[in-house]
Amino acid sequence: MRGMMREKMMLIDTSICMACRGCQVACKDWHQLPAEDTEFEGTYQNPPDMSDKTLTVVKFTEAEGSRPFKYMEWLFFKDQCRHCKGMHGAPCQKACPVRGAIVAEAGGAIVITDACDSTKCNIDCVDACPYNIPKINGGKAKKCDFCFDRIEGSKSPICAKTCPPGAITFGNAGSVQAAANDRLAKVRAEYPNANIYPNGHGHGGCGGETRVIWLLIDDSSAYGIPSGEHGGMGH
Amino acid sequence: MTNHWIDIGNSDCIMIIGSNAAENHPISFKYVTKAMENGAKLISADPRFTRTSSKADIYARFRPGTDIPFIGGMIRYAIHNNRVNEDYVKEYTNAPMLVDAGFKKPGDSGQDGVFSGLSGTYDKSTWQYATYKVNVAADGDPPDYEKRYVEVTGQDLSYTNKLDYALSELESVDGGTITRHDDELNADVTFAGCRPVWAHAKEHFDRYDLTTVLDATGSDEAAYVAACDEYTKTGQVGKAGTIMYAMGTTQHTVGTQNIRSYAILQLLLGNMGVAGGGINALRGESNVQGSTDHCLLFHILPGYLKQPGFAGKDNSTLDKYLDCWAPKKLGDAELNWWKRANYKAYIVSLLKDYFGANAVAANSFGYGWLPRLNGLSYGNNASHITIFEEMGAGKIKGLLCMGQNPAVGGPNANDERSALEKLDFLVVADLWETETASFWKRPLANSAAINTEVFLLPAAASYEKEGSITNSGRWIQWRYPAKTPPGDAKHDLGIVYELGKEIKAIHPVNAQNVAINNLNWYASEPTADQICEDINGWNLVSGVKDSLVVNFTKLKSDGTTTSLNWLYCGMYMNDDKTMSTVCHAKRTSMVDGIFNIGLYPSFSWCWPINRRIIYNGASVQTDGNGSHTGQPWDTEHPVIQYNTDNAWNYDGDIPDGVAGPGSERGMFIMKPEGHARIHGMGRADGPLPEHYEPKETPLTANPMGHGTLTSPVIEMYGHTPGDVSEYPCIATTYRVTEHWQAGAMTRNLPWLCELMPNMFCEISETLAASMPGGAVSNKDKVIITTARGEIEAIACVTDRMKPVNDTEVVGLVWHYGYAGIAKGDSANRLTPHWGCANTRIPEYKAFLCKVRKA
Repeated sequence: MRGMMREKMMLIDTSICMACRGCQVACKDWHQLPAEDTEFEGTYQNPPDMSDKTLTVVKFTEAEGSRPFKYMEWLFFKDQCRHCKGMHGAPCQKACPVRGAIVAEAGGAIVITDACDSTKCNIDCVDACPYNIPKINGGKAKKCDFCFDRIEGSKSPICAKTCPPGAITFGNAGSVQAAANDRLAKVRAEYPNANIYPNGHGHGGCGGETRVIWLLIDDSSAYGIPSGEHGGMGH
Repeated sequence: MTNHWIDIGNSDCIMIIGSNAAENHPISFKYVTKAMENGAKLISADPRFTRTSSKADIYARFRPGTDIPFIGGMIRYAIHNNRVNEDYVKEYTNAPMLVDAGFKKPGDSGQDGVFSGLSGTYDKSTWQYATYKVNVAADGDPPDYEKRYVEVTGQDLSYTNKLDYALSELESVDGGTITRHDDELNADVTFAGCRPVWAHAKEHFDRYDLTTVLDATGSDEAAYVAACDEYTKTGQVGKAGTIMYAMGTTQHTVGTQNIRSYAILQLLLGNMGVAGGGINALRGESNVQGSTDHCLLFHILPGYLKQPGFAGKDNSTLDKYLDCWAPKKLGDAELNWWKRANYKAYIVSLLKDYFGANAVAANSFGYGWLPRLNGLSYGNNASHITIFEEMGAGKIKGLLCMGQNPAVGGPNANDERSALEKLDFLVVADLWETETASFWKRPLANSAAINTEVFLLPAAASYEKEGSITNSGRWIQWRYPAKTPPGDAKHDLGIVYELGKEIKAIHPVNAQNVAINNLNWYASEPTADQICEDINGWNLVSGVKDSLVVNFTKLKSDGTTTSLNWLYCGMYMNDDKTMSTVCHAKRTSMVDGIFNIGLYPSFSWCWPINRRIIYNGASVQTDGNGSHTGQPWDTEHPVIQYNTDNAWNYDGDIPDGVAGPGSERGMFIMKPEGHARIHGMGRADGPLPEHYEPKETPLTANPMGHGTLTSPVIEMYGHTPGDVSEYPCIATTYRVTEHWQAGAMTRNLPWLCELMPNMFCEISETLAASMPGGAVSNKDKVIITTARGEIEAIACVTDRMKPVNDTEVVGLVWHYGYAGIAKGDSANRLTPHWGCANTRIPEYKAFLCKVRKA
């Protein structure tokens, strides 16, 4: 990790996110990524998943309501790289056989560099990732880089800056963790199943395994996302 | 908005109805979220479960076109559960005022669903306040005169008496004979059969009981009652509820009355004028508020002065115009802001700018050169629908479209596109070649047979031009250009300047061209600042612009001032030190006002005279003695607070015409009686909102139990509604976050096309399963048909859509067309060519269709 940059974290509060997808467009703008040729898929979610051209996607899921005056919930999950922590690096980093292809950058961002060459590996990062994040195209793996270049310039990632209702909180790890715990306590009054995702966060501020965390209003299974159990990953 | 965006954060309960704010006004959710973090409840009332609904505490579905039963039932709930702020209603509204004895309401015996006075259109004379005529002796001295009796409990006819009655006492005034003393005559006068507004209103809304309402709306009972309960809690002193609405409210044949129902609810709960309250129209574009203020509507001149000849009135001279539109005050203490002296100062200052040195007292400052509405077809009307009907009939020969794409956005688009073929010429100024500009080569068009000459003027985008925009909260903000426009593209100001110059040049001086000949035009292309200074207005010395007018109270009716819009007077000021002008709209101070309620009084500028919350006089408490205490109802969020009984010794926002504590002046100074109107006698379709079905309805009887199914005063333009026997589903149209209006600005941007690439429709699982032609799955194509046309769309089968009272609802986005990157059938090929009784805004939100598998 370069310099003396403190460890950064990001909280995505799905109780506030209204899925305007400003983050999706802002991400393309900052990274100058082309549009994909899409079709309406019967859902607002589009592109259907992340790709080498799309580093973050808001996922839309319709679920049964858990509150008295709402028969349903429409769940929004801004999917992206979690930027895993870990004693020996993130799972993708540990799995990657190519020197310098996956490195830690400002704020703890896990970044795939130009050294990445999928012809020299068995796309080990894809297999290692518990969250199905890295996407391979043209011999390179691509994923969210936490806007580490912005972090170096003391700016928040572009998605956090763009979010109209302020659903994305970015900052030093300790303060983001504390904010997550505060919000969880409040949101649980309305949503008893609310939790901090992935697991390992939000229970007495013990720290956690990823730099990007979510406040979910229901179990992760309701969102249709991987549970967040880190099989075999070090603390 | 009566309030403004930031103020939403002060609310205790937010009802979003007729709006999908999370999707179409995403920034508003910054403030909705802030309010919710402070404990506010969010109610989403919508026929569809939207992204707004996903954030709500209560979601209440209702059938498209049943807003009035939905709100009417809430009004009844407030009255029956003692949620009404009685002091507020008694002293700040017209609840205690007597209505003419001849007034009859839809539920009254023999009315069968209509108000008194219906004969084609309404004769509104019985809707007015009670009057009495004094006929004196045959020698005619003093002459006959007529007085309006505006208040029921006083002992004389002015509004000077202690209001120590209760609302329940008003109800007991039952139409018997009321005798009151007239000081001027020194005699008793009697009113037979007159009843106060409150008695009528309470009786009217009592018909909107829960069973009737649910029968009309199809709402879930538990969710609806919860919404009523939560929202009407804001009637408690110190609490505030706000209503955020948009086109889901207005685009109905009863659109104006939908808003009236909100206004009445807000008045009963004491929510007008207070922080976190108000009636908040979320305008559909960043500068729609500005365009309305500056009269881009047919019935007004800038600053909401009436267009001469509106409603067919005889406005042939300036005197007759003022007689017609400037009201006389009702009550000695009232300010009556639209009084003749003000109205005349505003119109003369406007004319003085329009016609410059040619405008003199002897020619009524050129009043006669203004165009008049008298004699236009369809009721002296020039609304969007009328213009296209007249175009289709070959009566309109040329059309200038700037920033508008009617081939996609206009109702009954098949007919409107055909109407464009009748034009001799069409000028489109836009960023892209829109569907309107390319109508002559649209699918299935016979281009060879179309003789319209089309000019496409390249326009500058918002980032490429300088000027002001006025946001929904009436804040005027300055925009600076980030770059120069590409190629030959010009900003609107430049285009209009060149047009005006050429129009003047090609019209020789003669009697027929007198208005154009006398028009004051710029010698060279003006800057945005110059235009805005002229909007602000000038003091003239010997006919020459000398100094900027300080505010609209300084405008004159003798031709010594100019102003292109009286409401914007004060936007600029002279800086005597630098001998230059200062534009308040350019201010960027982030310092809040004294009470920290988000007014930011030195950030930008706001009309009128930088007042951030209009009607804020009503934010202070009544004193129970016909006046106010000067102290706020809500001590946590005071808007204004008086330190003494001096009108000029206060803290907070600029008071809205309020006199100091102890004054008898009413708080709603734009009305001649000084009181907000529960009973609003100016509308075309009734002084109280009554539920009428959309012109295309699945019902055969009005759920209110009378024989008038739809509004009796709608101009149908000769069209026949589709019938439920052929079209069994309700259709409604709307926008999504990812596209902008008729799509020109977004369907040409690949990043946005990626998000929402195709025309789609939203349908319930039950409709999908029972679809004619076979059950459809998500992503299958379907055909939607109405009495106007047929389109194809991709089905989005979702639990968010549900039938209401066994009628299916089909949701249609209206962004798509045949130009741009993302193309698709236009929903407006299905929508009807009729609209609101008052505004003629099209009924886009509720019409009938049928759907089948493609």
